[in-house]
Amino acid sequence: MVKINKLFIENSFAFVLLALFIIVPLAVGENADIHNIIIYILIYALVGEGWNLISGFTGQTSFGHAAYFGIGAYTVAVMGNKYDVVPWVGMLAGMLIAAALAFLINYQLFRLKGHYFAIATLAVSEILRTIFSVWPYVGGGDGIKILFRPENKALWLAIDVRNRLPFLYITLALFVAVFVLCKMLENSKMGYYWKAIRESHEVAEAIGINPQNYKVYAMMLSAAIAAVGGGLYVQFFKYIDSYVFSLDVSMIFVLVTVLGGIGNVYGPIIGSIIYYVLDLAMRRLLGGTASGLNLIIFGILIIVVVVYQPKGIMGIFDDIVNRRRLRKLKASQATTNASSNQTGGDSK
Amino acid sequence: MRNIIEIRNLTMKFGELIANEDVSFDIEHEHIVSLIGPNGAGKTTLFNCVTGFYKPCSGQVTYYPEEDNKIDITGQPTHKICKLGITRTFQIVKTLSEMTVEQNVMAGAFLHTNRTSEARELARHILEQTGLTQKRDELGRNLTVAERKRVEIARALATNPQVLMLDECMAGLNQTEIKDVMNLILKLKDSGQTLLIVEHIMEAIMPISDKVVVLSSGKKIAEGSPQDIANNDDVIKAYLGEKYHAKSKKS
Ligand SMILES: Nc1ncnc2c1ncn2[C@@H]1O[C@H](COP(=O)(O)OP(=O)(O)O)[C@@H](O)[C@H]1O
Ligand SMILES: [Mg+2]
Repeated sequence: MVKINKLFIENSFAFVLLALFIIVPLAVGENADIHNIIIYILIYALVGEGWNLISGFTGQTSFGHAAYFGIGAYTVAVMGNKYDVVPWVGMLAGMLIAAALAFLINYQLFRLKGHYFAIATLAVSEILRTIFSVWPYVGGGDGIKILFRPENKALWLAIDVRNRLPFLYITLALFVAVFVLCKMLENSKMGYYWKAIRESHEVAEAIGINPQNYKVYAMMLSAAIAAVGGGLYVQFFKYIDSYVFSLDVSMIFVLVTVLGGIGNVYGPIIGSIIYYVLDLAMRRLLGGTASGLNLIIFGILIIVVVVYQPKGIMGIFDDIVNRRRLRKLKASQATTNASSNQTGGDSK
Repeated sequence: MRNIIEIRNLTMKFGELIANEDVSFDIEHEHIVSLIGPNGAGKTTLFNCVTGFYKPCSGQVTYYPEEDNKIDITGQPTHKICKLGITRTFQIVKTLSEMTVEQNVMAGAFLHTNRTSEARELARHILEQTGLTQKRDELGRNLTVAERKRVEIARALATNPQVLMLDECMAGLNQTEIKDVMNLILKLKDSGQTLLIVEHIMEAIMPISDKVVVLSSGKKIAEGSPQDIANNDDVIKAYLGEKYHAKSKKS
């Protein structure tokens, strides 16, 4: 019982967020627009969590996570359309393919350091984009439109356009699972080793860590998570083409996480919420005519965050909490000092 | 008394520059061996060669984890050498700056356990031993030089090494802080730790060493007990320069 209480107190922020994600979709009624936005928030936050493992915790910046997101999306679409495979199985297959691809590619790429690695990841997703745009098996330039046939149970998840709620809650459940996984990883040996590698390769090696291996583990997990996001995305959007592998898509995961707080499990979800709320507000305020304006504002926000608080919105949050804790500590020290002085005076 | 590490004819070149030239010496089990020499003598380079950061151009490093177990560790990867039981600290401290002191040490402690609770327990024990308990929750980047040097030692200790290699862990410390580190080193030795220490501060290193090896311009110029070394002409020459040496001879 005590243990459960502690779990709630230490993660109160997470539980408040979760409660909001459960209640808000119900509270807004049959507002498909807001339901759509919440689904997008969750999908991009989910992939952001994955990106955070390799780029936030392990410090290896990837500009090519669209590769794994796209693999996840195409796997669900192709398997569903061609072989009537249910999306759950499709997503699982997508995770495995993405992880295998991450292993094959990155075992070599991790010889590269810093910017060279980042550029190489970008090259990988560009190569995939080119291949998928001409490969007939996956629809080539036309992409794949997810079909619905009554006998095809493959697409039951997102099929009812008028009622998004079941799909929204499934996405929420998957996001929560990924979030919990990432939090557990952060507090495990793996998480400590990732951070040690991020902070110093030399130290990592000197304390017995093989950086190459641990970077590959991070990338494989990260890729598998991105593939889940892709699998959800394609069920929701019902269409996929090679654009999914573009830098634009990769950058969403980067920006959402950096805005919210890189290397922080809360970063992706906070960043994603801010981005979409901003996006919605802009569209409400300015209508379709200013569709580019939200991007400009988002860009400015990112610059401000990176310059003034590299740890993102969560960094600002942590600062406030720490300052308050410090003040409390000082206050309590002052009172104990005062009271000990008093007893000292009494004894005289 | 047995040797735990044998360094034989170790040579390391950087292009034309010979940083270590044909260096040979032994490190005895449960002893403190000190490596001294002027700046640029090649001490750190030797550390890098023994711990696999550099692959020596020629020569051999042999490690005896047990009496009759002989391993050639020349040019092996650093992480493998650490797993075998040899860990080093860095002259230019490399504190994991976005991790707390405790997390710095836990990262080392995970070498022998997969469980976070066990790693934390071990880390706390080492923090106590190294006088860092008060600083447990401080971020690495907020530490003073003296604290960073201590974290450097604590993190290495957490891997439970057979041979601990310290590279100038007293540089930049004040007298009391140096005394603390000396005491810590002696305590470690008493508990059976083998140490190879690079140090500049003679007053600190001479009283605690069992053996001193002197490098100058990459070559070993002397090896012996601290007393022998203190009275060795070549060593005085290397440290103070020919001129001064000639003058002191005359007077
Ligand atoms: N990575 C390197 N590349 C080139 N030269 C180096 C490198 N490391 C050390 N040196 C040179 O090797 C010599 C010995 O350096 P070092 O081992 O750091 O000396 P010490 O630790 O005894 O002060 C110096 O002349 C130094 O400039
Ligand atoms: Mg040096």
